[in-house]
Amino acid sequence: MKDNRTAALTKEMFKKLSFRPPAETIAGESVPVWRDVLRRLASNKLAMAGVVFLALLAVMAIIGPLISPHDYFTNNLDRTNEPPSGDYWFGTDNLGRDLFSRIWMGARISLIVGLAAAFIDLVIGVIYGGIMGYVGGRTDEAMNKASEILYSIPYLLVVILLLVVMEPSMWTIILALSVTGWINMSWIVRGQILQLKNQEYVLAARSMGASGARMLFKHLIPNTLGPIIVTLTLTVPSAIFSEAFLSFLGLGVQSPAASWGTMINDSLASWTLYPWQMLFPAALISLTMLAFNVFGDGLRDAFDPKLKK
Amino acid sequence: MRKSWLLVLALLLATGTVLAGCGSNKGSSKDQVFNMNLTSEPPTLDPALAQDSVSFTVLTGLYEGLTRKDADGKVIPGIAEKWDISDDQKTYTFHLRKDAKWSNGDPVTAHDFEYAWKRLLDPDMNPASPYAYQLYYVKNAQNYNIKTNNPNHVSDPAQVGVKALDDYTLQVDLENPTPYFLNITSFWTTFPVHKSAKDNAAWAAEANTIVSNGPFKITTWKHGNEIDLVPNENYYAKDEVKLKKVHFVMVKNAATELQMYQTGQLNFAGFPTGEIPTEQIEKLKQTNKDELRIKPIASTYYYNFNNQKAPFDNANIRKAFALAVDRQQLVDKVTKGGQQPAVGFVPPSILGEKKNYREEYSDADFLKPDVAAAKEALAQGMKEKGLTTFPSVTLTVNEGTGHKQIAEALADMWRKNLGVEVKIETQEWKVFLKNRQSLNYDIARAGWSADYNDPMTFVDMFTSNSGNNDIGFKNAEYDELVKKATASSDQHERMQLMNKAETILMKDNMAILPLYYYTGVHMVKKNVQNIVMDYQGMIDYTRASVE
Amino acid sequence: MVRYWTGKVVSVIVSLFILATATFFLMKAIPGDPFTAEKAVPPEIKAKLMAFYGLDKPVWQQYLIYLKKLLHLDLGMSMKSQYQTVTGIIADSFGFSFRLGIFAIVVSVVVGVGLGILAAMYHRKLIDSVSMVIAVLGVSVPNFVLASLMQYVFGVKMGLFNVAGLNEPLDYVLPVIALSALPIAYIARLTRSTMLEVLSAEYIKTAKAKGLRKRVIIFKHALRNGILPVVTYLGPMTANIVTGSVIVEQIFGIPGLGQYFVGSVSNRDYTLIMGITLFYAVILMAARLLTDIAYGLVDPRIGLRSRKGVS
Repeated sequence: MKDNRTAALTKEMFKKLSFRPPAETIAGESVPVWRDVLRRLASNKLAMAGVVFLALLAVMAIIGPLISPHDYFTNNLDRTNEPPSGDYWFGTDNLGRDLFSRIWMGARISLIVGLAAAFIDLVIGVIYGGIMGYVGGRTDEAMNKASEILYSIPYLLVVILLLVVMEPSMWTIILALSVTGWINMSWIVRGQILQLKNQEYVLAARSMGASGARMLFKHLIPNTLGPIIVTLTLTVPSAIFSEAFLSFLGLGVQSPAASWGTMINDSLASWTLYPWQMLFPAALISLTMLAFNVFGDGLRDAFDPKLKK
Repeated sequence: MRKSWLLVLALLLATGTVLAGCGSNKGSSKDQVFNMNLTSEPPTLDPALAQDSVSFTVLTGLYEGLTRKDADGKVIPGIAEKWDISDDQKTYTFHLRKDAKWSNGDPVTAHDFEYAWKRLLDPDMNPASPYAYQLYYVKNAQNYNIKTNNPNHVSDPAQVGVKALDDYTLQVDLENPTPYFLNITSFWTTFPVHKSAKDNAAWAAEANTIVSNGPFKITTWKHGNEIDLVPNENYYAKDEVKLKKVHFVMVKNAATELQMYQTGQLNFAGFPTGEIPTEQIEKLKQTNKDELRIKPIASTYYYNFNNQKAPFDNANIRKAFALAVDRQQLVDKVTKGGQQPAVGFVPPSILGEKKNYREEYSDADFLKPDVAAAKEALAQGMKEKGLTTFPSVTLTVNEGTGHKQIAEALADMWRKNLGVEVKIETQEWKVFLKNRQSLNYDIARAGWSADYNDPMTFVDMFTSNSGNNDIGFKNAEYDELVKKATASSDQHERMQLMNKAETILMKDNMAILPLYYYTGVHMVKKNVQNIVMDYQGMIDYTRASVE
Repeated sequence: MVRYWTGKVVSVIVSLFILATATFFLMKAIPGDPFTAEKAVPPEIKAKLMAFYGLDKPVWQQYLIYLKKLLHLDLGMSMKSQYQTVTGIIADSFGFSFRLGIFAIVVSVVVGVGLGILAAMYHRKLIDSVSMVIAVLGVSVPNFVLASLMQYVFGVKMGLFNVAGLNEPLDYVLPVIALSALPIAYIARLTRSTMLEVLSAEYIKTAKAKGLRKRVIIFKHALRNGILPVVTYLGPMTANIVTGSVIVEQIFGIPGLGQYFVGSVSNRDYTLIMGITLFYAVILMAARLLTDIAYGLVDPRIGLRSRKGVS
């Protein structure tokens, strides 16, 4: 005989209750990290000045060539090497071309080259360096050596070959700059990680069972942000100058386009006579770097809760 | 802490300034020292192996050939004090001076010349002499020098037409009458070489193993850095040598070179081994009028058309591009070095029959730049090719001073005058040369300088089988004219034949696009006398003095 | 320890071998040869020249021959500078680059770290701003612009220095400044950045609380950790400065190795390209090895052997 009391208990009679432990309630409004960072960044006046400058620069790079009465490539051989005037706002170069238009055309190239190269360096360098430093041992040894070998291959050979194989263009230059550009970054990151990974909080995270990738990207890399940002703000100018160096060897952007680097290069032999030909691109490079630097500093401070005021 | 840092910095700055104040040492020019910039290391100081203006400039001081050239470019006696030429102009007998000595005191004899010439023609010489062809005028020289794939190879050096009859008589037999042969005997490749070269293959790589026969001898050669020459006390005309020292530096940067000149570290700057920055020339014309010298030289700056590839396989299209260029504006506003606009190929400073070749055979009617005519020619050419729109073409130039500027100026002229868009591509030097030699271009930059003072040095480069014909130009009539001119001993006939050939090349075909005849822009300090620049732009400083 | 060093040496040799291989084939892949010239050398003569330098053989044979010579530490003869050995050329010119480089490195580290510490100590005060402005100027003025500005102002206009050459002690001043401007800026910012982090760490707060003097805190406690990124940077910087001063060398007319390197590539002077590449690689690897050792010294937790992994 069956016990009908038991038979009366059907599955339908049970409902699964989700277990909810009594949660602590946070009194303050919950703020996502990024909004916090943005807020702190916005309160940093210097950093904001940098952002505003960069934004202005971007706008000028787009509309600058359009608002000048002259285009950037037409020669005017009767008006070469003229100082700035109402007609030519930034003066003319040795073929009588309008420096104002050329500066903003150059801004397009230099900024794209600088930013693209920096971005590629950042991505590859941080991942590669992070793995080197975190995994350590044989892997570190091998990856380290591989980067040293790549770093030692004569850069000029690589660039010449790239330009023979590929159409000379801005993208070829960016590729050429990226071939070895990321290595510095990876070494900096590796050094930092080597130092950090023995620290207590890392040990704590590990003992709580955090996975390798989580350790690396959640705990280690954010703590190396300072050096990464400093390196990054330096990568932009160094990419711009490397492009100029390539132009020096005839491997840079193809004429009649010009970058800031090539404009400075062209003015090197004659800046004592026509100082404005060097002044404008050099000043713009410097200001851009300044803007990147204060912005980078601000970003770093904003990411770093310890420095919260 | 902060204070000690500042203190250290202040101290550093102070010492720096003090040291700077007393340390500045400007090379004084009163002590008969000639300072000039070679720009780069001479690859060799062996006359047989040298082939560049840097090596040649040093060799000018170290060696002397059978003949020399005076300030006007006329041949004068060198180691040979006189010579006889046979009636058929194919045998030269040189009588050497008896007081000529090597820097180690050995006499310079006819045997030294015979040895030197046969050495560089030796098919087994290693490395081979790249300029051996300078002596191919000598009987059997070419057939002795070239062994591989040469059925006419002469293996016996005694068959080569150079022979020392005695210590001081040298007999030279030529293949063809060569009116400019006495020019060749002052060319660096034909300089004598001391017999000690036999036992030491590396003799020309270090100062202490170089034995020379010229006005100077070498005392220091710090590779990549500097070279010092001092007078050779055994030189037969040592009284004519006033300089106590020639000091060569190797500074690559043109702006730096000019500044070294301006601060007195150099007393010569610019062409042939250095360079005056283009944009500075105009200013220097005002500030250093007495020191800036602009000398026309025997070199032509031109653009290659690829004569075998569309669209420039069409003569009218080539003409259109050539007609649309305003050369006067180019030299006045872009190159600025006082260059002469070129509408021909042979430059003005090359000798003709009696006067300069260009004076006897003008290039004026080869090409009369004119925008309307250019447009017409372009339309005509496009019709012949069945084109409605002009295809995309590229102008290829090598990296280096001014080439890019000139290309940009020309592209602009073509855009304005013909409505044609030409892309400019800058290439690394050797990549560029490879592309040009394999006819992998549409239009490419080129320049040619004379090897000897005769139109032939220009005209023979566009024969069908010339190794330097990198425009794909093939014209049987042209080849025939050049061949005839080579065989002829009549100067008048030769010049006419060569002019006919040049007319075919330029006027009829416009196979190349001439732009200008070069000048050698250089600066010499006012107190330096007797620096002579020859028709090629090479300088002779051996008789210079510093007042 | 013996095992550690043996491992190092083996890995350096393997690396050099891979590098030599990669560079060799890369160099052969680019168009042109040592005898490509505006005035074409007659084909027969060119064939002889190619044969003399062993360039007539298939590339893989040339490669094996080169490796064999390399095993005997023979870098061969230059193909451009007749009868000069690659070893000789490196020996002649590296001295200049090396002396210049060492000065520039010392100046960069001393000035850079100094500025960085000052900036961190006086965070958000005037000194901080001033040092960072100096640092930003250092990064934002390209060194070839700085070099030619200084050359004109101090050399030509004021006549304080020779405009070119490296013969007197004073000749070092301008090129050293030009070379160290960027590293100074970089090191200063790097030091400031890490010092700021370190200075807010607990142990520094403890030290402060203990009443230690500021100088002791900075130099005894903070700097040790703050300098680590700088130490990391020392490796690549040494390599960069010692090998990468081509433009500065050019502007100041200094006969260093950098110029030969660029020249060797444009001349397709194959043996010289290989020689200088391998030489630079050895320097780089040595510099990186020293960096690792320096790590261990600065931060004992990163001992040479602890680099075996995390566990």
